[in-house]
Amino acid sequence: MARPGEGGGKFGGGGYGGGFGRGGGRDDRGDRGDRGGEEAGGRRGFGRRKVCRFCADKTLKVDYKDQGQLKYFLTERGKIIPRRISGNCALHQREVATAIKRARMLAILPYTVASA
Amino acid sequence: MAEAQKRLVREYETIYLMKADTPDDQVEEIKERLRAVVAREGGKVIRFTNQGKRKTAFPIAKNPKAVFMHCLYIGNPGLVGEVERNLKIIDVVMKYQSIRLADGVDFDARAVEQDVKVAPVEEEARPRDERAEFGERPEESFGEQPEIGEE
Repeated sequence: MARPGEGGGKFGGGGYGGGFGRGGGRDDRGDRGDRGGEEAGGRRGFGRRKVCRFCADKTLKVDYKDQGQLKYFLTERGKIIPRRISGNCALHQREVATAIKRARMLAILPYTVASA
Repeated sequence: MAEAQKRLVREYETIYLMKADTPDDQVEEIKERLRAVVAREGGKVIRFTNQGKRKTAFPIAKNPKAVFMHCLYIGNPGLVGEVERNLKIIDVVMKYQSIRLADGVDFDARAVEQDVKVAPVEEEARPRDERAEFGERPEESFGEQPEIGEE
């Protein structure tokens, strides 16, 4: 009975330390620096609310030929950035995903980047 | 009754990639060939856009560069199949992709435009700071968050 509790405590402590370590790592890279500190404690902190950039600016259209625009929704490895991070609404995320896949077929965007 | 005669067609665009060393006169020749194909099938080419020689994201048939051509045209369904069949025959065309842009376009209302040539898109090196907002998250952090919360 005592064992699982002990193990849990150890494990939790390790997790905490690891969490801070990662938070620091993120800050160094400059990724999501605006809420890096809050996040170590789970989902308690409220970051800046993200808005869909295509909803905010109605004139903006998703275009699969526009390399510069779509690059914004790709990671450095060439993966599509999820909605929870990019902040797109469902409709526009779907359009962006389709556009990226079309651009990949025409070699405008990469399928994968080997050395990231 | 005159309005009822309006001919409704679809609007398509095809982008095709040619080998980077394709001579200009051959580029023109392919353009004219496609224009003839579209006309034969009862369609109309709105315009060709030469997007120039660009570096591709990955080598295509060992070619690191390609000439991008964009063709905008209207016509009936079935026209795309014929255009793509012709592109497949041409040796210097390495890749092509057709997209339907709109349905129910009035055939006579769309005017034929001049062919244009745009400067190739420059590969701009983006500094890392600009991408700060959308950085890739380490994936393992999601699994461990509940554990942290329990404490």
